[in-house]
Amino acid sequence: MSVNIEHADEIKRHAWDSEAYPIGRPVPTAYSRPWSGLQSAWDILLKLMSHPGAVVGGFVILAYVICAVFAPYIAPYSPDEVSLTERFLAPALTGLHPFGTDQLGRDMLSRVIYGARVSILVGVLTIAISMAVGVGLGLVAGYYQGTFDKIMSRFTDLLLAFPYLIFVIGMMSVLGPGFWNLILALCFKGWVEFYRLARAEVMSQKTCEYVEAARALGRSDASIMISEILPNIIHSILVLGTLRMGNMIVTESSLSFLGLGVPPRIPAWGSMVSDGRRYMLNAWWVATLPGLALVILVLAINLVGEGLRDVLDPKLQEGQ
Amino acid sequence: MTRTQVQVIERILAAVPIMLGVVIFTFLFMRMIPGDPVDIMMGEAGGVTLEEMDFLRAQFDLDKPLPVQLARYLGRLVQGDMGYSIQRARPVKEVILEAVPATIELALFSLLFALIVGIPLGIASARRQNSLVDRVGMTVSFLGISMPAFWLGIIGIIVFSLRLGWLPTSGRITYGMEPAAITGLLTLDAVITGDTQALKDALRHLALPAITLGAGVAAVVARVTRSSMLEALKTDYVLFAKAKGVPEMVVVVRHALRNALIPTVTVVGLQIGTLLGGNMIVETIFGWPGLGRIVVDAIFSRDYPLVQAAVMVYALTFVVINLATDILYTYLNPKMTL
Amino acid sequence: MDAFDNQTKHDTLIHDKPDSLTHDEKSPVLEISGLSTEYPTPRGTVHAVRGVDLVLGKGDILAIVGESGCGKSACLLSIMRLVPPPGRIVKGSVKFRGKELLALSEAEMRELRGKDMAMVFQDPMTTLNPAYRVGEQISESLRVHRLLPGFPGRLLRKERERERERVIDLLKQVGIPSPEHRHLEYPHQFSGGMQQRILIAIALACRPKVILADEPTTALDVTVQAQVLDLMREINEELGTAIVLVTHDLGVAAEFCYKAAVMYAGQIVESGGIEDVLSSPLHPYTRGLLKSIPKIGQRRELVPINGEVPDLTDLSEGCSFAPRCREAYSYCERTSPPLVHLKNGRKVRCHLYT
Repeated sequence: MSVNIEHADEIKRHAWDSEAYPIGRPVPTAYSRPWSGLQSAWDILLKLMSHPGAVVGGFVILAYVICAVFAPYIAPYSPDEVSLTERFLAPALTGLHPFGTDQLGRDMLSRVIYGARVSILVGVLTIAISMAVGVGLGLVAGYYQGTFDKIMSRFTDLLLAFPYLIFVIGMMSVLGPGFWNLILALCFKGWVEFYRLARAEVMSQKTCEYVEAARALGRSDASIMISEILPNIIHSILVLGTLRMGNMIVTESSLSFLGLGVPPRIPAWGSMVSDGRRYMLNAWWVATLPGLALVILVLAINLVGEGLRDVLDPKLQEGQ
Repeated sequence: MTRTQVQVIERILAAVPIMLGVVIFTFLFMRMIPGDPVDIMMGEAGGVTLEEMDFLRAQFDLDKPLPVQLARYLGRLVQGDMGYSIQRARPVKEVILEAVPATIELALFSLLFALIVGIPLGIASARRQNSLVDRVGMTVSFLGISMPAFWLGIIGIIVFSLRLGWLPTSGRITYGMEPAAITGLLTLDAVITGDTQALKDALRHLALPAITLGAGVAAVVARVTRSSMLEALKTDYVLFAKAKGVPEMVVVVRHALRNALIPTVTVVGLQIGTLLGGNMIVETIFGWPGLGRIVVDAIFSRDYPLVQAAVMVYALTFVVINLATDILYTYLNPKMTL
Repeated sequence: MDAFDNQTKHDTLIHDKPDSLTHDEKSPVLEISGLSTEYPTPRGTVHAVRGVDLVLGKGDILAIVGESGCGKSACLLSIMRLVPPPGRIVKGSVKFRGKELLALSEAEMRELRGKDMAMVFQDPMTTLNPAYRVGEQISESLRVHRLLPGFPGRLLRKERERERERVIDLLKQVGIPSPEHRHLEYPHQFSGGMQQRILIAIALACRPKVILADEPTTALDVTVQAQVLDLMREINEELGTAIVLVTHDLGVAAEFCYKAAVMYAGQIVESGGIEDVLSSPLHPYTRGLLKSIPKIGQRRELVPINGEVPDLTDLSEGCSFAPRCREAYSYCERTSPPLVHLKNGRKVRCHLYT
C-alpha cells in the first residue's frame, strides 16, 4: 500500500493560507496566472525534460506502456501457456525463460508483461474518471458555494470517514469481482480528493480580477468556469493526478492480491504475487518479480509526478 | 469553561453525526447485495429447507421494510448486539472483540516504528541539508512511499525468515507458547507478568509485520518532518534563540521541533487511514489473527454480518482517531486555542 | 528602577563568572576593525560586509544608517557570530571589552550571547516563538546563562517563585501593564509595541553591556516607536548599556543616537557624532540621503539619488558610490577610497578628502 505523500504538501500549502499556522511567515496563496494556452503545455514539457528524475521516470513509464499496448507482440509466450514439464524453472536472464516459470510452467516474463495491461489500464481509467468527476463537481461547488456545496460537504465528509482500502474492499465484496466493478469501487472514493482541490482552488481564484472582468463582459458562468478558471487550476490538479496514479495502481494490485480485484483469469501482478506466496521458499521468483515490476512502475510515476510538481510549483520545492 | 474546551466539545459533537452516518451507510451498503442474502449465505451449506430459510430471513429482518430493518438494527447495536456470524456460528461481537487486540498491537508498533525512524531521520536531514545523510535519507523515503505493503512483506519474509531464518514467518507467538492474556496485547501482558521469554517471542513475531506496515508511514513522516524542520530552522525565532545563547541541540528540539511537529501530527493522523487499510493486507500475509484477516476471510465466506460489523468498526475507529488528531492539533497550536 | 537593586542582590548569590580581563571605564566596549563577511550564492559571492571599522564606548548609542541591502544587518549578525551558513566572516577583528570574539570557541561565544551582548530584532511577531508563553521565553535567557536554575531545579516551588518574580520584574521595567497576569500569555496576544518591549525585556534580562538592535522600531507605529525608543534611552542612561541601533530612518537616528555611521554597499562611508553628520555631512551619499528627506514646513523639491545600489557580487575596483555620485571624477571609479580620520572623531571614505 503506497502512501499519499501529497497530502502532506497539500496540508502545508493550504495551511500556509490560514493565519493559525505558526511557522514563519505565510507564503502568498496562488496568484492568478495568465493563461497562455497550449504554449504553456509545451513549456512544461521542455522544462520537465531537464529534470533528471522525471526523464528517467518518463522513459520507464513509456516502456511499460509499450509493453502493455503491444503485449501480444512483445511477450515471448502466451501468459496462459501451461507446460507441466517446465514448472518452477529459475530465472535465467540469457535462457528461454528470463524470469523463470511459475507453478504451472507459465513463462513469468510474459505474464509480467501482460500484467502491465491491467495495471496501466486501471490506473489511467480510474484517475481520468476521478479527475473528471471530482473537478467537475468541485468547480460547480466552489463557484456557486450554495446549497449544493453544503450538501456535498456533508457527503464528502461521510465518504472520507472511511479509510480508502476498507471502503474499496467493502464495495468489492458487495459488487463482486469484475473489471468495471473494480473501476467503480476505486473511483467511488477517488474523486473526493480532486473535488476538494478543485473546490479550494476555485474559491481562491473566484476573487481574482480576471473573473470579474469576464463577468463584466457578460460571459456565462459555465464559460467562465471552463475557459477562465479551469486552465489556471489545471496545474495543481494534474500534479495531484500524477501522484495519485501510483496509489491507484498499488491499490488495484493490493486488491488483486487479496483476490478481490480483477477476475482471476486476467493476469495481474497482485494475484501473481498472491499465488506465489505458497512457493516463497523454493521458487521466490514467482512472488517477487511481478511485485518488482509494480514497484518500478510506481517509482517511475512518482518521479514524474515530483518532477511535474517541481516544475509547476517551485514554491513548494523542498529545501530551497 | 475555556475556549479550548468549547472547541473540543464542538468537534466531538460534530463527529457524532458522522459516526451515525457511517453506521447507516454500512448498513445500507450490505443491503445492496444483489440477490437474496440468505440464499447466498446458505448456498455454501446446502441442504437447507425452505422453512429454515424463511426462518433465517425473519431472523435477519429481511422480510420487513428497509426503515424498520434499520431501526431494529440500530436498536440492537446500541445494546451491543452486532449480529450473528454464520460461518463461525458465534456472535459477531465476540469474534471482533477477540481479534481487535491483535490489530491494535500491530497498529501501535507500526506507528511506533514509523515515528522512531521517521522523525529523527527528518530532523537529521533538515539539519544537514543536502549532505549525504540528507540525500540518502530522502532517497530511502522516496522508495518507502512507492513500495506497496504486500510486496515489502513478501520480500521481508523471503529474506529474513526463509533465507536468514532470523525471524518467524507468521503468527503472533510460537505454536505451543501460552502467554498470559490480560489485555490481549501480548507484549504488554508479557511485561506485566514478567515473562521475558514470551516478550521476546512476541516481539520477534511483531518485527516484520510492524516494519512492513510502518515503513510507508515512516517515509512520509520523514519527509514532512524534514520540510517543516527546514522551514522552522530558518525562522527568526530560531535565530533569536541562538542570539540568546541557547545551545544548538536545545534550539533544535525546544524551538524548531516544537513548531515543526504540528504538521507532522496532522500528517500522521491522515496516515492512520493507510495504516488501517494496509492492516488487512499485512495481516493476511503474516497470518496475523487480527481484524483485517477476519474481514478478508468473512468476505470470501460471504459472512455478511461479520463484514458489515468489521467495516463499521474500522470506519468508526478512523473517525475517532481523526477526532483525536484534531484535538491534539488544537492543543499543540496555541494560536488555535485562543 | 529599584527592582534592579534586588536583582543585584540575587546576582551575588548566584555565581556570576568574573571578568578575566580588567576593563576600565574609558576603553571601548566594542571595537571592530576590518570586519568582512561573505555569503556564497549560486549567482556569485555576496560581499555583504567589507572592511567595517566601528568603535563603541561605554554608554554610547551608535546608529548604523543605510538603505536595505547595504549590509547593516549582516554587520550585527557578524558581531554576534550568527551569520547563517554558508555565509561566513572572512576577516577582521571584533573585540568585546578587549576579548577577541572571532577567536573564541562556539561554546565560549554562546556564553556571551544573550548575557554580555544581546540582540533585538526587527519583527517581534516572528522573533518570539509562538508556541511558548512570554514569561517562559524571558526566563529562558536567565536559565541558559545560569542566573536561574534549569531543569530539574526549576521544579521546586521556591525556584518557580523566584523565576516568576524575576520575569514580572522585567516586564514591569519595560512597561508592560499587569505583568502578574500577562507573563502567562502567548506572543500573539500582545500588540506590536508590547511585543517589542518583551523583546527588550529578554535582551535586558542578563544585564548585557551591549544591545544590538536591528531596526527595532521599523515595524511599529510612530507613536509606539517613540515609546520604545524612550524605553531604550532609559536603559542606556540608567544602566549604561551601549546600544547599536541599525536603522534606515534618519529621523530615529537623529532623535535617539549620539554617534552615527553611514553604511553603503558593505562599507562605512562616514561616521562621527550625530549632530556633526547630520548638520554638515561630508560624504556625497550622506548629503544625498539628507536632501531626499522631506522636512515639514519646507517647500523644497525632493532630490532623489539617481541610480541603483551596486550588485554586491560584482563590485568594482573603485568607489562603490562613484556611479551615482554627483561629485565623482574619473579617479573615483578606478581607486577605492580609504577611510580617512578627520578632526573631532569624524571619518569619511571619499576621495574628496584624501
